[in-house]
Amino acid sequence: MESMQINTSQLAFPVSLILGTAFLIAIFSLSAFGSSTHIYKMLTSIKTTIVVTTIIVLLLIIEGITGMQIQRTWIFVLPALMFAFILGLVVLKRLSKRFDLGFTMNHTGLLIIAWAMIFGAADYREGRMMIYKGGSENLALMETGETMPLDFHIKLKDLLIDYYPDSITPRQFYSDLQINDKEIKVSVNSPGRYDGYMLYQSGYDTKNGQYIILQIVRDPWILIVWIGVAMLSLGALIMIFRKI
Amino acid sequence: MIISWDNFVWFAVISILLWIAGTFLSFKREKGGNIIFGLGVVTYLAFIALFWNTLGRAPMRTMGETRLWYSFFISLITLILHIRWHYKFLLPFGTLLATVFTMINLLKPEIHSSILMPSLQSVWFIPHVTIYMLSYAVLAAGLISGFATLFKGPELMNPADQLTRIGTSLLLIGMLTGAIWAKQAWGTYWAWDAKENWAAVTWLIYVTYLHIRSRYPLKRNLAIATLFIAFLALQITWYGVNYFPAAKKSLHTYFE
Repeated sequence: MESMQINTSQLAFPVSLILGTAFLIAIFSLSAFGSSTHIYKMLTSIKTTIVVTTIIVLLLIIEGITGMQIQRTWIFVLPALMFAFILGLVVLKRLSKRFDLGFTMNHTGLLIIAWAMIFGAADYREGRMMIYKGGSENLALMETGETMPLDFHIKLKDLLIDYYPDSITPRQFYSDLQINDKEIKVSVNSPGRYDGYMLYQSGYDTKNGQYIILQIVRDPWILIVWIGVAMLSLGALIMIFRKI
Repeated sequence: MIISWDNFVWFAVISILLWIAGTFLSFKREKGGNIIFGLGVVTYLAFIALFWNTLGRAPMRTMGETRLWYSFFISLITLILHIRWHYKFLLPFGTLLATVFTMINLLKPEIHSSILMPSLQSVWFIPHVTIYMLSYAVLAAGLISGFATLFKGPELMNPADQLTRIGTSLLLIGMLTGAIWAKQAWGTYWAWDAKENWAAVTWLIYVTYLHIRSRYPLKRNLAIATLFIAFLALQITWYGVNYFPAAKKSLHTYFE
């Protein structure tokens, strides 16, 4: 699977945004001008939806059983693009007839998440760095082996492990970081934020308490995902309380 | 009061007896069946509350602990549905399912200490697990209503649809709370983890059922077959996934 991975380095911003916008324009144009074409009728048919959904379900099952990572290969991305495209056509088709809040929230929410997930993938950066107590670091190592240089140095001022009473099992790991003049506290489940980067407490020297592993994440499309999540949540609540 | 798995058997026996008695009374059309059954639910909840208090953390981490919630929700939901719809199959079904999961816990308690690892210490922990367990219980009731249509006629399709619609929505909310929590804990809202993939599969099949019902209301057998497959996928998501090779890399394995 490694060799089939899509090389996202050429697809990063602004290419990602251009491709994403082109995708949306394609949905709008086909809906506006091509609704009598053969391809439009084929794409919006229930059969095509079932086939594409089944392919995605089967690929997820393969991943869920074997642990193979197919989601970053064309095998998965093509059906996912198709799924999002059909979803877009169906939303516009329905909206042109009548407005239904539950339907709109559920389908548009899912479309927005799928869109941000597919086109935003190339802009997601994640790396890890080891920082010793008192030391500082500005290079994170990505899973691909490449380095991820930051414009700033992260200093580990202090670190603290909180243990369960009378136990050697850690309850929580705290790190006091300093970036330029800003002091940032991070612990597990409570990340810090600096200049568009999220800083996560990822690992810890549990033996001697001398260093931490900090996970650095840049995820510029996340706000769009949260919009989709909010819409889907509202859609789900409407579904729960709606009477049929 | 110190309440641990050792005391569970007493609460379990009392609950099960009350559930059986309540079911029996309802079958005989005697009064008080719902109340007796409800006392069983309350007894079960009392154990969970006291156990929670003893542990000093929410009992939601291990398989044994989630089964507690499942038994509680399944008995509570079948009771509510019985009060509302009066279908006779609901209470015996609730009793059976809650008893089975209680028995599993009695035979295989998976006793754990009060220690909660840092990654689980989040405000999202309790809503995420509770919503999922509630959804699993509602969807089980939906499947049973669906199966009942095969023997008792299509008028039961309405409760099957209602329950599945509510259960699927809860499933979605559980998945979304999980995504928000994952972003906070792991840096990404979707890690393509085995459990996440199965959760997505389960949700997609349930959504397929809802679409079959709204588009092809007459294809009932197809709908019920889909509902059954969705329920199987749900079982894999919940515990079956732990037996697959993919689980070795899973971020969702907490019982070491």
